[in-house]
Amino acid sequence: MKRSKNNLNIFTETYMKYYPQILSLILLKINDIEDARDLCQEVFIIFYEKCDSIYNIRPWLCGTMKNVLYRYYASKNQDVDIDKLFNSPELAFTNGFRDTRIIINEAIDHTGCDDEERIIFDLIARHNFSYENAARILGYTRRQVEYKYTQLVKGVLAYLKKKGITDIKELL
Amino acid sequence: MSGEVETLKILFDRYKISEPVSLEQQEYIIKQRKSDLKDLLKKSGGYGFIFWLSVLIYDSLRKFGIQATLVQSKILLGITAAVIVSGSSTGAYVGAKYIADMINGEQIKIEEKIKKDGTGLIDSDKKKSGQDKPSDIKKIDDKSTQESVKTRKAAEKSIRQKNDTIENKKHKSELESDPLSEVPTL
Repeated sequence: MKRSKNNLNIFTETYMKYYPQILSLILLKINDIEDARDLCQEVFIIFYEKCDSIYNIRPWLCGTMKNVLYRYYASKNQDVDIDKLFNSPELAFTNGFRDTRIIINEAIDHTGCDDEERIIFDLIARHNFSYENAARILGYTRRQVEYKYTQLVKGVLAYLKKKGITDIKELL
Repeated sequence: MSGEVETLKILFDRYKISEPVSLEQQEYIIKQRKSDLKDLLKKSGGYGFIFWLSVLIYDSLRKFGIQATLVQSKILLGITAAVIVSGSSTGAYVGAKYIADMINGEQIKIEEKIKKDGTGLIDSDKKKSGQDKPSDIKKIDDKSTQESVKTRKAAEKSIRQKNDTIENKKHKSELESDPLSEVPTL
């Protein structure tokens, strides 16, 4: 199980960036902090073994998290429905607001942000992390995070405008 | 702009895109991050003391808003270690030297045999301090130290200086004794 030093560096940096987001998502699904930590560790152990062959880290981590969670639920209840389980914007879109949610998620994906900006957006917009906590996670100052988040919001609104939604209040 | 941020937040809530995590859970997640990484590295066999130190540097730099990579943290760790090692070894050397000088300078006891004119050897077993006059030292046993050599050299030097001053005085007096009449007139 020995990895090269470069892989170890990539793994550690990825872990430090994505751990809060992955743990938050798992915690929201199972509501047990100890189990959530174990499952999160499982996700990152799999990542550690395969990190040299992964290019899109974020989708890969979300997919692996889904599999790990599915196995966890399956071990407790044999009749688990994966689609019902992952009725979240991160993994599936199956409720009444489907179209609007797809547009909003498209807007988020098309803001042209890098990995760290996407983490900032997910932490603040999706998981309600404070600017201070997001800054602590990513090693920025509060002002930097606030500025980046504001720019990302601008990007999302610009995309929605392009799609014909001139005023965001139309969607409310 | 904060209005737009707020509106987007409402939009996210309305379409259930947001999945809020409480502030306590946020704190817990941030606190657990490092200890879980340590456990994970131990489980996967990637844990090492030096590597962990570089992770701590990486994390603490990020706390101050410095965007350093793990490789840069390792370089910083190496430089810091080199500075600490060289500094401490220099300090230890200087300290040891200072203490050694202090001990040597206090009092050196030399066992010596003084030879008197015509009377032969006198086993005096006299204990002399390092500050004794060098003129008294006539013969030093094999146990002679660097300190006695130093004092001997100093004594020779002072004798040489005395001789020089006597010669200078003689020369001056000769010059003064010359009559002015011997100066050729124009």
